[in-house]
Amino acid sequence: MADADEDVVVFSGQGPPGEIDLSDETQDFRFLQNFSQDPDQGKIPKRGVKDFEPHGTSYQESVLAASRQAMHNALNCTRTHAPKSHIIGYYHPETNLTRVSVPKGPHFKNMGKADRSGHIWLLPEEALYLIERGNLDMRWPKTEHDEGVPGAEDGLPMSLQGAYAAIFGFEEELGGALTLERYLVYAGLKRCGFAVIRADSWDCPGEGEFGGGVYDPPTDAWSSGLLGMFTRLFSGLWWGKNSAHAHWTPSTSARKLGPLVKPGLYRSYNDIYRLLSVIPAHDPTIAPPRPKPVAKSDSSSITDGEASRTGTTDPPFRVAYHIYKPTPSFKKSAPGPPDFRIAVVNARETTLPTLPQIAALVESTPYCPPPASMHQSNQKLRYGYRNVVLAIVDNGVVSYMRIGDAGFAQERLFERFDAVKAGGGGRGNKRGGGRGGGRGGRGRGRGRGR
Amino acid sequence: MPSAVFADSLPPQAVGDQKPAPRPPRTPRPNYARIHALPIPVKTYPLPTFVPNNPISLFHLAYTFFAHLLSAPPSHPQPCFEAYFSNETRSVHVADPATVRALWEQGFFGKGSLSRSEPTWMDREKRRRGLLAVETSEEVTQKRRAERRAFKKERARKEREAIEEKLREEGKLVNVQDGEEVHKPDVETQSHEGEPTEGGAVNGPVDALPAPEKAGFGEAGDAKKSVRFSESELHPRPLKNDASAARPTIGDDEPIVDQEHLQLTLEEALFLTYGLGTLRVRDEATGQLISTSSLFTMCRQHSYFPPKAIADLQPDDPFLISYVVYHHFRSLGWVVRSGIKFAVDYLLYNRGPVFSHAEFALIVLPSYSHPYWSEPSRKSQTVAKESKQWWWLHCVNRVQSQVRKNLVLVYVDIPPPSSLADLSGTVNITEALQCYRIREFSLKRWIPNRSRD
Repeated sequence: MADADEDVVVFSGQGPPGEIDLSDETQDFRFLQNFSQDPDQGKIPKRGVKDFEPHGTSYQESVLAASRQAMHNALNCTRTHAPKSHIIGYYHPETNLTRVSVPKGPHFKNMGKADRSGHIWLLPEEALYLIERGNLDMRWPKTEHDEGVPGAEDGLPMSLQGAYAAIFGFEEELGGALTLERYLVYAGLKRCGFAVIRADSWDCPGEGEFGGGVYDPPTDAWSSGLLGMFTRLFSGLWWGKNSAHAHWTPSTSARKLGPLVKPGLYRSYNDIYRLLSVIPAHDPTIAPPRPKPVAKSDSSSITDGEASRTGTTDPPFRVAYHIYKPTPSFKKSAPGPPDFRIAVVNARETTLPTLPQIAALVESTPYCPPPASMHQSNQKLRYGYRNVVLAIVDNGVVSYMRIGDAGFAQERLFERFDAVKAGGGGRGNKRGGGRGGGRGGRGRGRGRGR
Repeated sequence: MPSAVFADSLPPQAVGDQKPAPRPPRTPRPNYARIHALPIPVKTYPLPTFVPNNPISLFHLAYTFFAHLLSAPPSHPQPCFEAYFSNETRSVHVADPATVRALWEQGFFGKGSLSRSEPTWMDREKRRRGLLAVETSEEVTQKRRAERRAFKKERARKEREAIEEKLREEGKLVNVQDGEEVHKPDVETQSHEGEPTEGGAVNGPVDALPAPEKAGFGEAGDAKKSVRFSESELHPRPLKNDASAARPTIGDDEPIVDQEHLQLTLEEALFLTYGLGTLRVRDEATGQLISTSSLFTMCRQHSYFPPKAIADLQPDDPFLISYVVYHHFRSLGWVVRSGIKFAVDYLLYNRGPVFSHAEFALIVLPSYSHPYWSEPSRKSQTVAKESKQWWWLHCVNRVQSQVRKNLVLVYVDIPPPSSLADLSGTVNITEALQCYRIREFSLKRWIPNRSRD
């Protein structure tokens, strides 16, 4: 039996619709036809089936031609600024910011920063995004040379190319924190409807949540219950005799070469697996020590390796943006805790993060354990104790990945083994019973517990 | 729609007018919960529970307690499992059938040398000779694959017909004979059939071994993947008929000799020896017992090819890194098996492969965060070992999401050689393993459009 059936999973699976990745499909641009012809009729386009190779029918050719034409039409549209939301902004090369005196439209709900005189200052990526959208008319600031030039009463208008060149050009001198990759991620997320604001660690290491404490002391389910107590009283007696099993120190020569589990009498698999546990693993429920250990009570326990590991974040692996789901109550002055934190990396210039890099990145986000409603250990492991989204930009193509601090050591599967044994295979019956009818969705109808 | 290429994930039932034939009732599956009751080949003897309102249970408890006190029942298998270290295959072989069964059933250790996973060669051989009525898992897989192929063929045929009709409608297919069409849609479909493990690389040659004349296994010689099938491939004759047919193969009357053995990976062998103490490994040539410490060293040497000298061993030996990961997840109760078929290092099963699909797919990444490794002379080497490209990760992650596993990056922090060196005289495995540190990160694609609300 074994893993024999796994190759069939993907074909037979008619999982929940959320599992199907629509973004993998190539697009048929004919759906744009509806939009370009009558923009008022908003209809959600339906995705069609794939064509892989030309098979010579005129029908296929005409479909392809129509699709191309629709794409051309869509691109051909003259992009106009609606007078209602037409904004004029003045570019400031010194700060790379854009000043808007008369803000209009809904975008300023989550963009820009007002100064005392009531002007709104737009960050470079915000300005660029608004230009791309066709809302902002960005101008060079007025200079003496412009006096008397016709049409330059409000400063010289800046082209889209000019805006890109100026914003990314002048950004270099200001530290270069805004890269094209970051802008692509910003614009993509904005277009999806998120509110995106710069994180504190935009151009500095940022302040994570440090400290040596334990977040929430895990309650030992094993130690609860009257029956358990009684049983343990007896097992305790037994252990008293053979304490070599239960408590050991690394220096005992008996454990040098194993076996870790010596022949003897064991009351439960708990005992056996505790003996097996040798390799130190990261505990995500303990707050990481500060980057530079300063007079912490537990700093003595930090070995050399650990000190170098919990360093500060490396430049590419830093949270760049905070992302908020679109809610009507969002306020840019008091955004609150973000829904997601995102770091942007360039796939061509970086490799997979090393452990210190990824650890520092993940630890710069706040502790966010799996919610109490999650009971399945698989779910908890997927969720993790901290999480961060990584946007990997490969030549303009952005792919996102969520990284969770899994903490496998927190989910001790072996604690269930004793229960299974005591229950006389009750779980097995439950699982087996579910598949009576045979051909379920997956393979040979095994339950997957999802 | 003539250009319709049905989505790849459609199950056979989804084809409109083609209804699958009613299936014969299945033979009930074995009671896996009972067969695989032990998670590892070590037995426990829990005390009976004390029920306060039932005073007899106290006597039962006391009786069991004192009975165990006087003569403790054995926790480990008696006698100890035995195996041979095979230099050629860099694995540990178990030949004794009872041990093979025990190791498979109690913790899913090893792999049958002539099977894909569970050692079932004997069953298949018996079945081939008509001695066994129960289907083996390999047969089930083959049937399913044959079904799937028939479905694909049917789908390709329908597509082709639809296209032909369209061409005829458009007047492009008047003079051309059916057989000599210029356009071959069936060739087209084969270009995008993404079937990762089709091809039966393991099954083909293995099944052909005892009976080279290919005893009805539809797939055995079918190395080249194709959607166009011969009639015989489409309707493979039932195996039973084959066996009882008047086609006596050489040796069919001879008693069956089990030609299969169980192969343990070096990590499994060391875990069974060093961790659980249920296995003794002997040298294949001399039959001498290999001590745990020399087994540990041998495994490290054999993680290179040709095996390295003891003096050249490093803390980042591939074996040590993978053993640390293997031991860590085993000690948490997972069933750890090789993940090579999904392009990862390990797969994690909850309870075991017969119960459920693997939940997690592990990629092991070494980490050289200790200052020793960042000294200029070593920096370039460690950086090369640490650096993995993003496109590679995307590839692996795509495979995992196709088979619905969750990718986990397992970082193993490598200690400097000095921390392992003070055990120069005697090997101290436990202390050596304690120098490594593990940290896991779960990875998942994040899709903005679906994370919004």
